[in-house]
Amino acid sequence: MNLREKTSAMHPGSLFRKITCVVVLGVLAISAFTLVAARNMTRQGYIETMNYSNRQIMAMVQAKMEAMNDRITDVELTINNSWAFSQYLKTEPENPRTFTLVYDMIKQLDTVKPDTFYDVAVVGLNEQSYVSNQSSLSISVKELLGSRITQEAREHPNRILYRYVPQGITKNSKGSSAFIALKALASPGSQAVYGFVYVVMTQRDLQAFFDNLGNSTNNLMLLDESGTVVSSPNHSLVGQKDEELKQIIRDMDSHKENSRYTTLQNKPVLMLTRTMPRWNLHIVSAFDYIRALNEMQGSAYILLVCLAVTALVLAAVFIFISQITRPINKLVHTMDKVTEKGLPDHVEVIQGGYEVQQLSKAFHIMIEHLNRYMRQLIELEREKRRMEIHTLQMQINPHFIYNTLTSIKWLIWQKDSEKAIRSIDTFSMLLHSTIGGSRSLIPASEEVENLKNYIFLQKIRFGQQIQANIYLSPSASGCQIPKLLLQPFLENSFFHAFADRKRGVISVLIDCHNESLCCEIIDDGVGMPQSKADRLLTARPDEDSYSIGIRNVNARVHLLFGERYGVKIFSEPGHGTSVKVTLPVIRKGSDTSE
Amino acid sequence: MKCNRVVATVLSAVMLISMAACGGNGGTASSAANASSGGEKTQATASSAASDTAKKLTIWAWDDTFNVKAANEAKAAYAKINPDVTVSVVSMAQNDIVAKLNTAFESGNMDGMPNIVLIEDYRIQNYLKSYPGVLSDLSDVTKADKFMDYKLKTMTEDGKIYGVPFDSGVACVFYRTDLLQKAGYKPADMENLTWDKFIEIGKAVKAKTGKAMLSVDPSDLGLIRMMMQSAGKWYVDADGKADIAGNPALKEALTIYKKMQTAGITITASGWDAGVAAVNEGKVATAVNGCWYASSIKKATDQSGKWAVASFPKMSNVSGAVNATNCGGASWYVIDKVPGRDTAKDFLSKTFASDTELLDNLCKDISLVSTYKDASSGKNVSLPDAFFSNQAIYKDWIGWTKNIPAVNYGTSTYDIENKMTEVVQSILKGASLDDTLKNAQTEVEGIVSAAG
Repeated sequence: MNLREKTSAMHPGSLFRKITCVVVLGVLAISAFTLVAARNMTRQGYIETMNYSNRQIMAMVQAKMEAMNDRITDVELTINNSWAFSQYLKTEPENPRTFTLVYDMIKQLDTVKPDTFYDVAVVGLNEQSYVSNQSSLSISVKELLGSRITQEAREHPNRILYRYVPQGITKNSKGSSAFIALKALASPGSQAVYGFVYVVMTQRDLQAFFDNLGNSTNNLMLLDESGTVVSSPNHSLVGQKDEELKQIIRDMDSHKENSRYTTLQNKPVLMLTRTMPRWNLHIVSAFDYIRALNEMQGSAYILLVCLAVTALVLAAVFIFISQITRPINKLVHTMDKVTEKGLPDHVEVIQGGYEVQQLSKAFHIMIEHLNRYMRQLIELEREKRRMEIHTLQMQINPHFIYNTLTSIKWLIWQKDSEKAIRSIDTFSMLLHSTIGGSRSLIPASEEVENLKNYIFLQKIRFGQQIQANIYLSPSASGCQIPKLLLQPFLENSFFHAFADRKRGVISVLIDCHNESLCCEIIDDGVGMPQSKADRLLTARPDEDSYSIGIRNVNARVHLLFGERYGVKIFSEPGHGTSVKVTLPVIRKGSDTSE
Repeated sequence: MKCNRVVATVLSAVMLISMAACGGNGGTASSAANASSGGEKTQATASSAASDTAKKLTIWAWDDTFNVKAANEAKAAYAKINPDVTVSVVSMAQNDIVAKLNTAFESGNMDGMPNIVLIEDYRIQNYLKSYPGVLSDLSDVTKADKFMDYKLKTMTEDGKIYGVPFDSGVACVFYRTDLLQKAGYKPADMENLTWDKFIEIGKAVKAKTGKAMLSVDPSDLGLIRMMMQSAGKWYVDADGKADIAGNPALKEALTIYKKMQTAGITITASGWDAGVAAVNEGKVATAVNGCWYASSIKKATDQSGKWAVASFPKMSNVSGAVNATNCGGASWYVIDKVPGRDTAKDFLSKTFASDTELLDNLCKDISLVSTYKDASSGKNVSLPDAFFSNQAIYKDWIGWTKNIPAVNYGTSTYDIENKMTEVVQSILKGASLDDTLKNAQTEVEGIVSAAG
């Protein structure tokens, strides 16, 4: 592909451009569509998966907390049913009885093996207290007994209440918000409350339920009735109260939904909830799926793959289209060349697609037809020219014949019959050569023979005083020259150069000179001014009868061999005339088609 | 070429888009990479080829206000001597330390274990006997003539010293001067105290102020242990054999213990915090404990100047009993197979085993009573303490420390004590002392033989 072809390929209206544009746009559109579709599907799938895993996580947290609830229930019932605790909380302290009671309390509590991560605090209305884990109460017994949560427990003696407090009640839980499972202690069968048991879990202990389950997007949290975040892997949320969240949860509860797409703090979230009625809590996950999607790595991967595939397809399309359009461009270029440089001899058939090949073939045939037509035209023209030449030749002959016949008549008049016969022989030979031969070109030697015959005939007419010598160089003897070409000049010399005297010399020289054949007819006659000599060649045919032959010769030479060749006349009055005829060197067997 | 330029433009556009797409996710990708590269390995593997020196030492201790603080001060002191070594002090609950030591020693795999660990004196015999070779021989670090005998005895096995003593657990009576005064007693009455006198004062205090003399914890028999050691006795004898039924000191201690309870001069406080609360809330007039209990007493700043310290009461009915005993106390040990043993030994030898300035500073900062003999000449030792009525308590403690009878703690102090809490319960409920102890003798023998 050369530069021209390329530029034509990128021409604004070019086929290449149009097809490329359409295909590239198409590919890009499909890619974009695929990308969007794939991305949406992946994202949807991702959200589903995350949603599922969040549900699992919440189920797990719930299971853990239910198990925890069972343990706490065990502990609190054990304490409720323990005679040691009951005695300890009902009677006034008095060692060593208290000492042994406490020991028995510990032993009885140990039968349920309470976990060490929560404190078990027991407080009696007698203001006696016991706290496990080597701990003690961080607030006074009176304060604890008078607190709101204790009052609530007193109102529901047969229930375990779970309450969130911003401040723990034991030394271990002091300084941290805590969750307390509390129960009023009462003898079975009686509603008489004698004390309370508090299982105190600090914020940190609640956190254990979420160990490694929270992440940056699922926003797991435990929410109490008031909408306060009781616990969350995200520490900053703990203790916060969110009315909006509370409303959403309440609404979901009333519709018995456990998942809902909604907005929280102007962020779209997938809200999941699970109620834990025993704990009086909701496990909530406000799944920030937008953020999760931003954290997802898959999106970029899809984009990358899409772009890579698009780039590959585009590259392939580019190459393919350029392959298809290349023959068309070539064809266009070939046609362009025809309009610019003219008809070539031959146009290659371009190999390519079927259509282009057919087009190219048609173009090729058209060019061939044109060429043939042109050749026919040229041939016709040549024929016309040959006819013209023939006519010119015919123009010479009557003049010559007239003169010769006059000479012969004169001989007969002189009764020189021998000479007359010879003249007639010679004339007939000359006529034979002139008229009989169909060839227009004859070897120089033959022409010389003709000239000699002519000279003989002229001598008969003008006598022996005029001497004519012919020199034919051996190299020139084989050259072809038009028939009777030099005869008119010889004739002119005979008639005009020596019109006033009977003596003179005419020399005819034929020689090859470089690429041309030079024929010179030199006489030492009267001569003429050069201006007249020039006029002989340019004068119109009817203007001067003498010049007819000369002009004919010049015209013949021009017609036959072109303007390069022709006749030149050099003359000076009193010194003679030299006629020089230049011809191409044509040898028999070489180019004789003309 | 125009054609190429177009291709190049298209390609660069594609690249730009893809780069922009990458950029959008760059932040999270790199943060994920950071997260995964975390988790530095704290301890090199401690297999057979443990190297002797290390650039990093780890120390485990359990009390942020006391021994952890001491370790940190030692760390600062050592940094001046050997700045190339990074020392990391890890604070951990004592129970966790014990559990981890047990696991590691049982499995022989020391991965994640510290170079230096603080171990309570009551427990060390068990480790030395059960896992010989696990702890480094520190005989060349701890000079026997520089430390008090009773302390060294706990960490000596076959003539080799395995630890560097940290604190003295010298026991004393912390008492409220104001309450005793109300009961009609002066500090002078507390000198050379006997248990009989202690109970007498207690009764007076109870009568005059309504306060108890002492709080008792059903699950902690520290008081009984102190009484035994004040007479040079323990649950086991010098050979490590169970010494219950024929142990006059134990018998007397139990008698006194019951006597105090029946006299009504005690209150029950279950657990450590409850005991401290009883003291801080002014429910009791005295606390009988190791000198390290001072920091807990001092928490009640409102009681400053109302406290004083007296020597441990003597059991007058037991021969050889003195006015001095010990409660608790711990020492530093080097785990032999953790890489950096020599560095750890160097650390201890240049700090707790010899640095009197450090020990003197610790006396002031954490009320450390050292068992290092030269520490008694430190300038902080003779300073008066305003909280304790300007008494030079450190000087007193060091003085009493010298009198502490040395005993063999044996291998199973806490296992025996579990049994003994039951014994105490039975006795308090009225069982015969002799019979109960006789039965206990058999059981404790079993415990001791089980421990090997």
